[in-house]
Amino acid sequence: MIHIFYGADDFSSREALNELKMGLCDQDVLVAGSSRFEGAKLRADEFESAVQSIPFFGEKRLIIVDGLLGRFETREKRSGVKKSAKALKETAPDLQTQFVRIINSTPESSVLVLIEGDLKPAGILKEISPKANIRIFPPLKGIQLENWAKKRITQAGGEISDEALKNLVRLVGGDLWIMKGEIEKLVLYAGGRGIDVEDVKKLVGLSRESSIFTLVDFIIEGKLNLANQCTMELLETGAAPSYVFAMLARQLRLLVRARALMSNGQPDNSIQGALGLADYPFRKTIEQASRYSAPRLKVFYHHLLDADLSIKTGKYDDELALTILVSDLCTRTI
Amino acid sequence: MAQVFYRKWRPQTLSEVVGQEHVTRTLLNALAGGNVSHAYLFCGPRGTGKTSTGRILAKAVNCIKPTTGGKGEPCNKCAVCKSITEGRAMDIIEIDAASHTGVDDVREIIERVNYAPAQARYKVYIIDEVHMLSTSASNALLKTLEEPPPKVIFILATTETHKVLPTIISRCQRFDFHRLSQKATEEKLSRITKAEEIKIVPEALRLVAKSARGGLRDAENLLEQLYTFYGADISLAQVQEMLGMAGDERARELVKYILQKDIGAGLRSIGRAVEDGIDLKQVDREIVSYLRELLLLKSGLDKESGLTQEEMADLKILAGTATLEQILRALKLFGQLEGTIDNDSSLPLELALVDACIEPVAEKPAPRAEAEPARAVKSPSPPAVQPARPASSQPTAPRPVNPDIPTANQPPAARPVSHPAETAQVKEPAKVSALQGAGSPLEQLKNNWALIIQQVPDAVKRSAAVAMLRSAGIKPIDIEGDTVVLSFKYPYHREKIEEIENKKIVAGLISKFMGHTCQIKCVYEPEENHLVREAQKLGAQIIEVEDK
Repeated sequence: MIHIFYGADDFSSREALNELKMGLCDQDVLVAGSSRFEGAKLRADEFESAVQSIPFFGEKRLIIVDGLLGRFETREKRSGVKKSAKALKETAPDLQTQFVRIINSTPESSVLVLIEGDLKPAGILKEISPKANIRIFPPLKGIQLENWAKKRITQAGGEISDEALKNLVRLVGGDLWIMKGEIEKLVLYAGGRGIDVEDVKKLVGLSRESSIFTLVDFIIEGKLNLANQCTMELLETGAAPSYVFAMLARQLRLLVRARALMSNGQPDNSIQGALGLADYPFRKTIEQASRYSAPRLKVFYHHLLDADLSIKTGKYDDELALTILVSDLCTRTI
Repeated sequence: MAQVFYRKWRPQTLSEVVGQEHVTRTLLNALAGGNVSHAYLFCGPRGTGKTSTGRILAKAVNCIKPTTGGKGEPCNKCAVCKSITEGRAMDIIEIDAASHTGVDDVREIIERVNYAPAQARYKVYIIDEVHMLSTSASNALLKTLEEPPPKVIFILATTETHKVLPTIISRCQRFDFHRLSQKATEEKLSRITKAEEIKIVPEALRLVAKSARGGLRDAENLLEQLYTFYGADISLAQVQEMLGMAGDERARELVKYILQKDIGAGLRSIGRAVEDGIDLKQVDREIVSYLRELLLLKSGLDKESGLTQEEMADLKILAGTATLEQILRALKLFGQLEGTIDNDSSLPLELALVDACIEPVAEKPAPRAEAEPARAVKSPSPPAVQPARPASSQPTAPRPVNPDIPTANQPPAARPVSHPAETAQVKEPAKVSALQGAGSPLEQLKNNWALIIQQVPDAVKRSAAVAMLRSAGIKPIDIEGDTVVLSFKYPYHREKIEEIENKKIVAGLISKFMGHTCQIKCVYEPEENHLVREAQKLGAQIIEVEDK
């Protein structure tokens, strides 16, 4: 039996693999009768030997390979960059044919699972036997993600308010690995009562990243008291001044890039792709970029550079430099 | 051998961990429900309880107390708990990732992780400073973190979460440890002093807690130093002495004079501090700290700052008398003295005081024109001093605000962009007037060069850049558009002036004279010699220049 799980959501594909394992046979027997390989380094003879071996203890053998098919997707297709001669040699067509042959000749006694990242349906997948069970795991977004999180919380024996759920999804985004950890933590912290917005704010580590957006918002609006309060909160909740500086610099870079792309008339999805941001950070960045004038961004940059220099040359200590930077940016008239 | 306070008073149960209720409550619920995760990531500043919590968790999951063993707080009495507390438990492996950064170190862990625990219920790996692991080491650890063998728990601790691989973070249950509030630190210190029979006045204890800035270990260490040095009876003056504080009202008095712009009283106060032999560095530190509190208060933040009610009331009155800009300006001036001040001279302190008291001259309105180009276009009134431009530059057409980032709703600015950082260094009015007289700009610049160097503003007078301008024979030789070319006799000086801070100062001085923003270009021109010139005519090349 051939199973191919592919898509950017590697958490769900991993869960699907676990479900498959559970349904196969006794787990202790399965441990002895399973092999796992890294697709990028796997040799054809090694693969064939694993696939064609007869199960010894149980009825089935399980062979899991990570990223085998992705190896044959030309880099040209994936990133538009031509492959090097070495890479071409490594993934010569005959090698691909060899692997496809081995996959398609998987005996009934073997369960072959190929775990892949993003694959093009028109690529190598077409050559795989139609008998293969192909499952796609695209990244979850929007309402799908909310539903997934809510279901997970209910399964863990917890409850969550709608607002808290929205906040959680906004903060964590589509990385289900992180979402799983945060949900477990929130359910345990709530200890039977419903999870509310405060719990999310208090426990979700990623809320710091969100605080950086808020801090930049306050700076744009010149709200010194709120900006200082936000900075103090960040420091009190354990963020190092260097982290706040790094995050401010990152956000500034994003604003400059977003502004440049916007003025070139690029559509939103193309800007989002270029910036490599999830939905919420992207929306915030676009909103801030349209409110920050180019000269102000330039001033922001110079202040950041001055603050960085002043720390590195020992002029100010890091916390004082941060206070001065935030105050300077808020009181700046342009 | 006696243990140091922070080890002796290290929390042994989750309820003893101070100021991290959000972490301890979650862990206790996890223990009670048998839902302990296989991997934890504890993040937060130093001295906030990350490693202690890791050890307590290791004890809690392995505790063999019959009633609650493994389902709640550790008993600290059973053999397993004791062996972990004493650091001799085989199954609790503490690794300092700062000194085991390589992939081989991680491979060793991975190899051993598959062996079942020898004595305890769980094998617990506590990896401290995990952000120090190399990328390949982190990746090697990732697979094991994703699917660890049963009966293995990983506890990773770091002070710098942003340096940990995102994939590692995503595979762990992450807890952010907060800085301890001053109140929580004080309470913990108070418990220690009671148990150790140390008499310490509340004000002194408050000062110890404040100086630790949220790190309990630092506070405990300081308390122990005080106890070792002064014995079991500790006064406020002793704490101030240990912290090197002036211990009197001088710093606050000085801040008051600064904000009241009373230069005479301020200078007298500094003079008295010098006569009394007070550490001027510490006076400056206290001024900065007080000004910072004032700034935060002025900007609407009156949260816990470790001050008494009377002190807070004084601070509020003082904040009411000054503007935010005034406080910020004073904070910058005194903040930058830290590295330069010494006890032999009170001059830096006095200069900062005078600077802070004198109202700064308003900056040129150039940035405003840049920020509001529409207004600049509507009323294109010529600048007060019309800058003479070299014939070659011809910037008659308006320039865009930023050619790299054109914006649809921003018409081009009427005048070139003023480089805020470059001009910011030179805020005082230049005594040398900008270009007005006869002659080309280059000629005027050359003629006035000595005067420009002589009359640099006080703010940059002591800078390395100005020192080099004075003594290294640097001179302007050409103007290319907005760029002034400076000639250097020695490559060393050219390299130094090309450093960003020095370049800013020199560009600022020249811009001030030229009346518009200028950049500088540094070229190395060895001194000319008629013999060398003749030799070059015959095809000779200079391959090395030796200093005489």
